[in-house]
Amino acid sequence: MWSELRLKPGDVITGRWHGHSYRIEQELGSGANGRVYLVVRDKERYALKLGYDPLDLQSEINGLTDLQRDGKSIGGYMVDADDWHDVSRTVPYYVMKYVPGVHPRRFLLENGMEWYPVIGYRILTQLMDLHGRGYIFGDLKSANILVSGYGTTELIDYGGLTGYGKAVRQYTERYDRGYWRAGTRTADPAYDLFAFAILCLELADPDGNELAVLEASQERSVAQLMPLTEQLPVSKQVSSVILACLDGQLSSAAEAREAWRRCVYRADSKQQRNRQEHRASPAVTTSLAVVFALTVMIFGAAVYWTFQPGVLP
Amino acid sequence: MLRQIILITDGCSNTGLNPVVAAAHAANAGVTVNVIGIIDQGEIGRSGAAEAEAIAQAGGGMCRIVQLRELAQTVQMMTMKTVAHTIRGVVERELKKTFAVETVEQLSPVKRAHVVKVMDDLGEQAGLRVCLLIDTSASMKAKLPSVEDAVYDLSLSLEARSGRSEISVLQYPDDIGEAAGVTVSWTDKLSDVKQIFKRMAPRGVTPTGPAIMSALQYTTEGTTEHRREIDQRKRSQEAQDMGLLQDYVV
Repeated sequence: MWSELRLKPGDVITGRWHGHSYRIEQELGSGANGRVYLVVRDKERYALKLGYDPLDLQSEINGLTDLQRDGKSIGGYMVDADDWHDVSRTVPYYVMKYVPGVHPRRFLLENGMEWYPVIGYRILTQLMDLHGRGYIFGDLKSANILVSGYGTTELIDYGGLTGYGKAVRQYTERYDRGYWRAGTRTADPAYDLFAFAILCLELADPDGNELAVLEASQERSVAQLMPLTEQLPVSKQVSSVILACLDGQLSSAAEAREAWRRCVYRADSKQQRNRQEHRASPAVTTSLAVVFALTVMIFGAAVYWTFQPGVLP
Repeated sequence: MLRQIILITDGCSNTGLNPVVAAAHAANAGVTVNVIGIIDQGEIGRSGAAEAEAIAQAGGGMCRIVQLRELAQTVQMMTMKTVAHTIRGVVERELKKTFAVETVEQLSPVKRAHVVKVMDDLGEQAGLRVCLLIDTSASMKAKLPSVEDAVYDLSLSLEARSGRSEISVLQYPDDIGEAAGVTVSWTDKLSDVKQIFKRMAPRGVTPTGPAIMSALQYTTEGTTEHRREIDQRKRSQEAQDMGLLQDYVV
């Protein structure tokens, strides 16, 4: 509805109901149902989401409020929800804790693929937390994840938040279980895990071409995704988890996280062993050379003393 | 029960009742008409786009002109938006009576939160019938696999709802080139249907208006005029046979 509305740095919006004022610093991005800005209120930074459609945004706010009900905050903590009355229109928004960070692909590019298992684990932890409250994230995708510091991962944009058993509110085709003909669009933990598996494949492949090709095909299926898991070195170490998620074999994020952890530790100890063996070989070669040289010297001395008559008394 | 027709076409009507009038009939009957115009390496043409827009306006629905690859997403989005819109209309009529406000946006955040929760539940639980009306004239032939894909995709989303959701597919022109014929009758599990478009009768005619009337009738009464005629003919034939039989027995 107001998708064309864009605010500039320096603009100030004031809430009609609660009266708080926010100064726009910069635009952070836009989702399916709103645009997000970095704002400042009382020297504190926040993320403010301006909705395109008031009812749609309100549903999202309802979901977030529900999550916060038991006092423990989840992900971006909601601070305020209000309407901003512009000259000609009233635009609804809500304000959350500001989460700094970058797109996971960029994080991996800058810090190395070694961080891949860390990020995966953190995402599963966040899903676990959500699932424990009877909700699925729904629209899990790389664009809805921010990574910062030592792989700290936050989910942003809760437009897809859906209670168990309901029709998933918002999704992106690439990550959608139904789109790949791998199951229903009813919210259950396995729905998020399927999207997680696609996310893993996507992040493991720096070009992302293979996934894009499969995605565009009308004959797309999970069977085609499976070989992709084994092809890429980073996803290979956790391939058993990815495959199980694609196949719908895991029923909870906790289960997936435990399997993920085991894969990562195992892969790491294997690497560790390889490294040790690798390091051992030059040492062995050196000691063999020394032994050989000593043998030759002793042999030479023995020959010299044996066949030099006249020197010995 | 929420009822809607989604018309998928790539051109202009050229015979029979004006489709805009047909859409107005649908709106009168409380059936929303949405229109999707497909462009595929070409143009739907200015007249085609204008007609699509007019049909949607008269039918109280939305119109989108999209690329073939956007079809599934568009069908999906339209269906859900229409459900939300219809429920909103109903709820706002109630609001006017109880709170003396015109729109949900005017409510305070606390009240709004409650009302929207009720609306979301209604949207999820209300009975829903979606009739997909597909133009299968010659130029659409190559696009039918994508249309099929979109229909399956929609049925998948509808199966996820808690409310009873039914879907049907009508295609036009029908065998005699006059209106639309039923390809898949009302079902709540369309993903079981293996192939949707088996018969193809590409003819030079595009009777969009009469096709909308068929869809309207099928959506409200569960039958199409054409079908009914055939049924009537069959029934009178049976009656005749019975009569003959009776004569014989007597």
